[in-house]
Amino acid sequence: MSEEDQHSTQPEIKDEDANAPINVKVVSSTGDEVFFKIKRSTKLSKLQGAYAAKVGKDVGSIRFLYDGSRISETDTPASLDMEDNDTIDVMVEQVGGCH
Amino acid sequence: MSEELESQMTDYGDTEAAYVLVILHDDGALQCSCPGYSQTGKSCRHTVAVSLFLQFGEASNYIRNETVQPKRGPGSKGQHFIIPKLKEQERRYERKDHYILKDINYILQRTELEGSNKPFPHGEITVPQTPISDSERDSGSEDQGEPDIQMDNSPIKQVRLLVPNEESEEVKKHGKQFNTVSRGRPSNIVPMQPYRAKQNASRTTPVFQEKPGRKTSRLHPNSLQKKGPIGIQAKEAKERGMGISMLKEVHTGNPVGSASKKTATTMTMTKVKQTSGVVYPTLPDLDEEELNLELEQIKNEGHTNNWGSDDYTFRYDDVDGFIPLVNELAKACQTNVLFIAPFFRDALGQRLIELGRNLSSDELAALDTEFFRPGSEYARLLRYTEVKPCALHPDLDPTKETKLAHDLSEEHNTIPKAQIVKDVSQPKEKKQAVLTRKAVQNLQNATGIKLNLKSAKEVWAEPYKSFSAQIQSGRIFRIEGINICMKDIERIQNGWISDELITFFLALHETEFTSRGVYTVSSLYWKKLEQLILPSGSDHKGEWEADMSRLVRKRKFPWGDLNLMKRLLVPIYQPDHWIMAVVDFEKDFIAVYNSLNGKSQHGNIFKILRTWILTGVKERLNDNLVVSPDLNLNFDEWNLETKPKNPGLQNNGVDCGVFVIGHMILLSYPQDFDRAQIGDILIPQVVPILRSHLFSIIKNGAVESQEDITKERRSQRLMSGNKPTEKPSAKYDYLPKHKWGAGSYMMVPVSSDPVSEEEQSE
Repeated sequence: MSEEDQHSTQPEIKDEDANAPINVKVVSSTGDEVFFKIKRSTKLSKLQGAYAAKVGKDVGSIRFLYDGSRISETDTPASLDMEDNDTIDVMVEQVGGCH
Repeated sequence: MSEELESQMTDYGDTEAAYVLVILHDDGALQCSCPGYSQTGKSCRHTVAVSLFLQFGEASNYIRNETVQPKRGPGSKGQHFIIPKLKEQERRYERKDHYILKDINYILQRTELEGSNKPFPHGEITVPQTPISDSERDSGSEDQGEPDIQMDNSPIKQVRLLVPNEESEEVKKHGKQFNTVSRGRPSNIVPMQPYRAKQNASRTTPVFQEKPGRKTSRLHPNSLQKKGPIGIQAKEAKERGMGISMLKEVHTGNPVGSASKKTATTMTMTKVKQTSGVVYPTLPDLDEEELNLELEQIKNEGHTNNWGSDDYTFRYDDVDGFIPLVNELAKACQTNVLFIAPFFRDALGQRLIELGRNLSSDELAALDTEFFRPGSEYARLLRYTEVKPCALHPDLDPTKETKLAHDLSEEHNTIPKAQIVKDVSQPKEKKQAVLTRKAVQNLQNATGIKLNLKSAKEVWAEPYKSFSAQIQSGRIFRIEGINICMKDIERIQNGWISDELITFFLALHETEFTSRGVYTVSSLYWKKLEQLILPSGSDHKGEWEADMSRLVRKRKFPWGDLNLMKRLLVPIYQPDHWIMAVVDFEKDFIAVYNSLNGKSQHGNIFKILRTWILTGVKERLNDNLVVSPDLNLNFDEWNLETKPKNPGLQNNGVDCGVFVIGHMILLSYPQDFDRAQIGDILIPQVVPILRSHLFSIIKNGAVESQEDITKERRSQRLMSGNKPTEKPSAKYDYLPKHKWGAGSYMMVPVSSDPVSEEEQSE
């Protein structure tokens, strides 16, 4: 009986985990940190917009990297296997032609 | 003295005269026309004033003279005894904590007696009246309206001053045990020492009384500069020295200037001498005369006004107020000049270069929302450097302006396509045309690009227009999940290349490159590596090696397997410039291709590559995967080429990104291609082909997204209307100072008037 009970409760716990918000640290290239709490199913593009608003920059002029790769518009923390307290790096747009 | 003067003097002698006449005789005697003098013959106040004027000059100069010259005039008897004393006192006050504590004690006692709660009545020290309550903060974050995102508020720094009564008790209790570091004397308080008060009372007031205490004569009374100890002044000055030298062309001897123009130029006379630490602050509300006096002072002190020199730097706040003024002036002169502050040169300055200067008012209005919206950093103005820097004043001249704009725009348009096949009759051109044709054929053979010069041009007609129209109409195209922005598309034809474009290029060529054993990363990945590996990088902290291996593990390359991974290509962004590095694991060389042929911190590049490769191989060994035995990891035996033979070289200040793409295409053929030929194929004339190629692959590779995220975008736009939390100056400190050189002007029609609009909305 008791084993069966455990089995029945397990999927519920998993569901909670999937929806539980995680903390994400966004670090700029100058080392400034902003913390976000985000659901694992929320698109990271929302976080990008919020960060851009916070810093006062245009979303199009900053880039978000998770472990060195670009975060695309459709990515979510779940799709990137992000864990709690992971960091996202922010880079400034690079435009070069030289002087 | 002439008879006329005599008669004048007698005329005015009896009645109330509008002025008195003081005559300076050859022997130095002074004669006055006032009744007092004519009756008694004794020196009157007018003659005394004149004698002081003759000796010390203008009254406003007097303060300076007082400190510089120890000797006094006849009217200020005994003064020179006091001056050295003051100097002694000055020294004593400054240095010892004991005196400062004493002062504080005294002030606190006094406030206690008087029952005033304000120990610093001048209001110079601002105390946050009510600290922001928690509820307010919470409501602020709730207003964001994002239910599933909660933003932590970064802690707000608050300077708290103790309530004076409490503090005084504390000080009383502890008395002289309070010997730790002083919290410093408030800079604006003149200490009220009892013995000094006595001194002041016993002294007869001299004609030009200067307050006792340290002389701040170098600061004008209206100065914005805070008065404080010399150390702090110097420090502040140094910090402000980060300010930018700009608008060098603003000459004082401007022939076009109107009266208001003149004030403008005199206002620009504020400057910061970085080396000396002496600060001449802005003088916002002064008459022209006073300004001129101030200027003369500056001149007298040996700082000559060389507008062309590097001596003239602007403090951050100087430029802040200055640029709107110049814009207003420019508007008054009916010219199309818009001044843009230097800090945010990269993005908007760039885009404006690319868009050209003949914008219609509609186009400008479109730019308005993008850049000049309230609160955006660009709203605070940008700097602009044209290829051909010009002095300011010709632009202010309405007659010259149009011509200049025309010239420059023409030149701008012809940069990429210049010298192709214009006039075949001239032998030089003919030679070039042949060379170009050859290079195009070589490029086609080497890379498989099928475009030639003609078809490359055609790309910009129909396909480009329709594609950009689609994007502008709100449809969203993506490559690898990254949205294609209009500004990047606009850059392809003849602008600077952005990291986004290179990322698209790499993403679209990835499979092709990997099939040849060539691996690439984006420039942002490289930037991350820089931050991790270089000791100066922001991520170079305790566990950076763990981060490094994690980074390498995420991006799985077959490190060390020579059959799979033969070359590694990296586009590298250095401020304002694109270069690329190639690592060949078979032939053991690392080469850095710089289309400007200049050296730029190549040592760092080698260091990063070395660490990166070693980490990669180590991780692969940890996973028990194959590493070729032929792999040579002793980098001392590698060939490090800072200047490879015969690289492709650009002939302008725009194309380096295109050259990086060209180099990457050519270097992605590890066996078939001889590197020494690159310079023969990548010549400036084939740049249009590469640009067209870039556009067509992006257009073909773009995938339209089904979802409609225009709403989301719009909300992001609105949200980004909030004011930046950081000061821009802090953010842009890392930018090299020398970049803000000459040519800090730009020309855009002012008709839509972005500056004033932005001011209104702010």
